[in-house]
Amino acid sequence: MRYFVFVLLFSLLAGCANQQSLTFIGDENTGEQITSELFASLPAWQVPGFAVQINGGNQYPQQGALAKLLADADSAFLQRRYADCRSYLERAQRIAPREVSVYVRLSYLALLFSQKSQAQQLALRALALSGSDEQVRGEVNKLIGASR
Amino acid sequence: MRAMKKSAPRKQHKPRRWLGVLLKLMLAGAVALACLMVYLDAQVREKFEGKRWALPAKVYARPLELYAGLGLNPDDLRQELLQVGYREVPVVNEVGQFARNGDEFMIGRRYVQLWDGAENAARIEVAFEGNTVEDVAINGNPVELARLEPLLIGGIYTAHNEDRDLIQLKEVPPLLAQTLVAVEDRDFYHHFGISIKGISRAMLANIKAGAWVQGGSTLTQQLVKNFYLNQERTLYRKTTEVLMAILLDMHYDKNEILETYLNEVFLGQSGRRAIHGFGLAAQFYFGKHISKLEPHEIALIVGMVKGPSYYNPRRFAERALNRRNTVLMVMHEQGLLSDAQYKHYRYKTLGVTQASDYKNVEYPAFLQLVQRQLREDYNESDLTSEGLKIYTSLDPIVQRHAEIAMQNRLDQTEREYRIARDALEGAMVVAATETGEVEALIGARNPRFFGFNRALDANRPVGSLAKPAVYLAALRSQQYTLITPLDDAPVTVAGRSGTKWQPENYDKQNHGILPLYQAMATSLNQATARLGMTVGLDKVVQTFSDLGVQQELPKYPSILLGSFSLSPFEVAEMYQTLAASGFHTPLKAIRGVTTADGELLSRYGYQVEQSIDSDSAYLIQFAMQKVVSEGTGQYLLQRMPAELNLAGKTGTSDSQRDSWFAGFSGDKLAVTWVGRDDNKPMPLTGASGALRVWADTMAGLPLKPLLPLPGEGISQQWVLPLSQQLTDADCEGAQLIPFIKGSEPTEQISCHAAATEEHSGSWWQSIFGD
Repeated sequence: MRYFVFVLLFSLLAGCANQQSLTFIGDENTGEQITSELFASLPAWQVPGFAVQINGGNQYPQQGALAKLLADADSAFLQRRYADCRSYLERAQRIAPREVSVYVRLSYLALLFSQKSQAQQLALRALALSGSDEQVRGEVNKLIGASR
Repeated sequence: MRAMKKSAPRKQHKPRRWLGVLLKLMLAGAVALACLMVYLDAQVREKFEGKRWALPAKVYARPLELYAGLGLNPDDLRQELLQVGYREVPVVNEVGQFARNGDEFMIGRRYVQLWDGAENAARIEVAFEGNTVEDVAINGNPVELARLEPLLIGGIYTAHNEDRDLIQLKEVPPLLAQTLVAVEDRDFYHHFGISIKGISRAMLANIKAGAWVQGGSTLTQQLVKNFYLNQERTLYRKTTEVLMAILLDMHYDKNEILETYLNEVFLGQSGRRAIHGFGLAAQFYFGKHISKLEPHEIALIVGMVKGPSYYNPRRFAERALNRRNTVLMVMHEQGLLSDAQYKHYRYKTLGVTQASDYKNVEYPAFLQLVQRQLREDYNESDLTSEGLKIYTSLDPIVQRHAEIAMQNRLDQTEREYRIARDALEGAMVVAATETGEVEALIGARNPRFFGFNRALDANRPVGSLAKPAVYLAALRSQQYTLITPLDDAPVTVAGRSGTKWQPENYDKQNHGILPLYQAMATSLNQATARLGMTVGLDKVVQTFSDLGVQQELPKYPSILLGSFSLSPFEVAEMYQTLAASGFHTPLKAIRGVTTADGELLSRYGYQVEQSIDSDSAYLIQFAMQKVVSEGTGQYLLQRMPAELNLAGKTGTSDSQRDSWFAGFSGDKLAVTWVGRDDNKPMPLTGASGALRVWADTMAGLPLKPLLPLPGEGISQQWVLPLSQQLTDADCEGAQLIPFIKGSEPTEQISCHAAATEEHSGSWWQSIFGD
């Protein structure tokens, strides 16, 4: 009987605690779920000149705010600070909302966290912004293939 | 004698009996008092040891991100800094100040905590070239970008609208605490919650004056009154106050009581928001942290405790100055200021931050949107009590331009069209085309109005704003191109119950045969109704749904001309998909939420879904650009550069009860609505009403041109639209038109032949016969 009362009280208290507590989303590092084979099949996140290649090499700025934010995003990614990486990319998107490199990286991140549907949509957005640049389209299509 | 003996004891017993009654009464009184004390003690301790205050969520605008190449008017930057509470000075000496020298700014940025990190206090230099940021530097070093402190745009309050920034006593300058004690309660550290000396002094003063001129309350009593009780002047309330003050003093350390007082005291009003505590007051009046207050600033806010409204330094500067100097004198008398310091600070100006028209204003329409989106994830009690920080996408610069445009244009329109004053109302939504972030929201002509939010809740017939969906449905079917000839002849559609639907054009004219894009650009009802009925209502309704219209539309022919109702916000959701080339993103107002300590609770990232194929979206954007360059939206060319390639659509509902315009540049989408709350007709169309508000707003903002990128599936061809023939670029009447590959005309015609055919009219016969 005492045990029953204890369990009842504990449940009630736990219920109260749940009602009042706020949910923390915390760091995203724990959500990394991509398989190494899939990751290996994708274009590398950061290779020299990758961002230039992805946009056909004629529009992507080598310096300035966008380049800085993408460099910060890449650095955060390599250090597995994915929440920071996403923040840098979202800031980059606000500055350059039609920049293919931003959407490609956002798609990577979504894929990394097994959000395949969102990864595909982001890659499709990148594809629509790629115009008729064959090289870029080829890279982006790899992402679309991986997110299916 | 016997009688005397008998009566004597009676005489002796009477006082004893009264004494007994009195004793009993006293005993009962003591028991009642003890009970009351126990009850009050419980009250005092429960509230003081629990969570003392419900802290409202604070809602912030977007942090302004400065970088070379950013389109920004320097005046708008100045205005924003003033709004955030930065003080304009000739030379920047500390954070919270800025100096402007022509097109160059020096900003002493305060430490900024955001949902995605923090920005340290720093000296930021910004140089402009016209309306573009040219260079940014932090602490003298050139940088790629710098973020500024976001504007506090409102709070989510409890019913009392109390707001405060909690502070600890160790953050408070000792001089402030000493001044407060010197002015309000000199015996604070010596009495036991109440001061007999203070009460006697106040009673004497009141008797002398013959009126209530002085209160004898200690700081502890004031705290009890504000924290536990109310402002009523009754004996019971006063007695309770005294008892609770004694209990409070008995249980708690003087410094703890003082710290609570410093956080509790009311120090002013800003709209519906009540400013409580010295921490928030320091920010509100001086734009700085409490630890940075100077002696004359301390004197002012301590002096304001006596009457925050009466000594409001922004409204009654002279009165506030006198009060401040009185406090400075007390500080001097009490040895808190030296002779030299007293003389120095006495001649200082009040030093409160400038109160511009837009300072400390709230954005009720936008706040309503924020609250609705937050309610999906948070309880109301969390929002009003946990001190959450809500970071939003509101752009105060865009919002200000929209507010001014709406108010001025409606005033002007009423004068021009002789409409009764204040009869017109308006609503507006401005969003970033790709991210879907809402940058401005107007729910009423008076943007400070907390009430019916037309942007979110006024469902009005959309009229011709529906047409892009009809034409898009046709283009998606791949049975039509942009130059497919449409017949704008009278049309009759029979309903099931024998009713007939016979739409007419706005000008009551028939316009014959014309290419599809032109029918849309000129918003022809007859041609659109014929097209929609041919394509099929199922496909049109599906297209509305794919564009983001969530309500289930009835499959009636009249929906083709926008007989159904949407709110401006819902229209913006639909047009966002068009503006983002077929990629739908739910409009959002929140970027992130943190706890009061800055710990991230939730972030609201970018979500996207392609719902319209890119090639069809490219074609419909082309047709919407024609609305501006050749059709009903041409007014925009008078106001803004043609190179912006703006796209949009006007809308007018039946009997001209609603005037709409929805349009977009490369980076911004805006939807405007103008109408009357009583739903009466107006002498306005979409072009003469809402379009003007849109133009007034956007003309003041730096916009990016709309340059849709054709995908692989698109080919651009020079054609003669009406004859549907390929031709050369230099032929008269030739137009460069995009086609989905495979749908281009195949017949080629030379310039010479085209000219001949135009005169003979044979193209007409080639299509429609004799």
